Amino acid sequence: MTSAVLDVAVSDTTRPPSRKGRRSGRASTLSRSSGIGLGIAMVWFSLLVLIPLAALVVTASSGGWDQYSRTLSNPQTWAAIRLTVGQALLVTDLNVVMGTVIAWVLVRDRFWGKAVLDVIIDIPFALPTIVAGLVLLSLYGKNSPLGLEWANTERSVTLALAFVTLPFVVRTVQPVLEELEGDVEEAAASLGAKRLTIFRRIILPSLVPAIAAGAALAFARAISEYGSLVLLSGNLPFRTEVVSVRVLTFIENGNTAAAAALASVMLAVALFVIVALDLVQRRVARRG
Amino acid sequence: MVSVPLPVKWALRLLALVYVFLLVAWPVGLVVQHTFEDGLTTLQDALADPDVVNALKLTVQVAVWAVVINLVFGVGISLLLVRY
Repeated sequence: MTSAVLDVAVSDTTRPPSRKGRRSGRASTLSRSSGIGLGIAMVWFSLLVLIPLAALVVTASSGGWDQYSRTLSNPQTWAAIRLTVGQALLVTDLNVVMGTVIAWVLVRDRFWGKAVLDVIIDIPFALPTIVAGLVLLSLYGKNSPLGLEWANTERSVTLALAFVTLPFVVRTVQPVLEELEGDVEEAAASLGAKRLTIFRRIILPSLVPAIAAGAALAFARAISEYGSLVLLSGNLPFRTEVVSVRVLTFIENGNTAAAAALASVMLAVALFVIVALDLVQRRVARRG
Repeated sequence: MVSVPLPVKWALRLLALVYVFLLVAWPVGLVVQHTFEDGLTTLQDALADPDVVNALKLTVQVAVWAVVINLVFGVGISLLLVRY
């Protein structure tokens, strides 16, 4: 599910505005070979993403609305949804701020060890998520050198999600910041704009689309996270149990319909947030 | 390019470094340190286990195939999305 969501978010930001062919004249610009290519790609995409997703919705809807209301009115499930969405939103906000700061430092600042920082950012991508849980447990679990015992608390969920989503905003903002021309800022400065004004009116608007794309990726990743939370959060019902763990419990108990219902609810949440962020992005792009 | 006042520059630098250090570098460092606490024996024991070796092999194999498939279909789909 995440990868499909990723594709949507990424393709929206990188697509150049060359879509006139569709409106003027012929209905399609596809040649025979590219038509075959499109066919193969769609078959593959359907087998991998569309058909499983459709099957999920079918399974969920087989129980009717009754199934949904029964699943969602379960207090334990509802607590899991609240926790997951709440923590995902919190971590997305954290990433918007910290990711932009880190990208800024990586591009505009110069200091000893910057290359190391650049490499460390990718570690959460490279580590298997269960290892991420293990890694965080060594510093924030029992016998923590910092004296923090955050394992099995809500903070551990925040921590794990912040860990696995760290690279998204950094890696989407960084290239945009690198491409930003310095002379526009200098022109603004020579016209008397203060530093804060330059940042707010010139730099930030060009970064917002990238920040929104990164935030969408981070959010999608955060609500679907499973591996890093298993070790760290303890999966305590009503306290640290997230939706993905809840889905697993449903499946283990043989309640596939409830699992599918919950999964489709999360799918809707993810779609809603991604569309909202896309709208923000478009509005800013139009104004700029 | 606009210049950033020195205190702000240092504050941003420090904020980024401390955040990444506490969230990633230190925890990862601790795990690496635990691995080599008793020299190389822990690592050797783990790698001597045929289950572990098999898991590693399978992971690499599957990853390589996924990369190849994604390379073909990823490039193809992005070409179709942009050009047509």
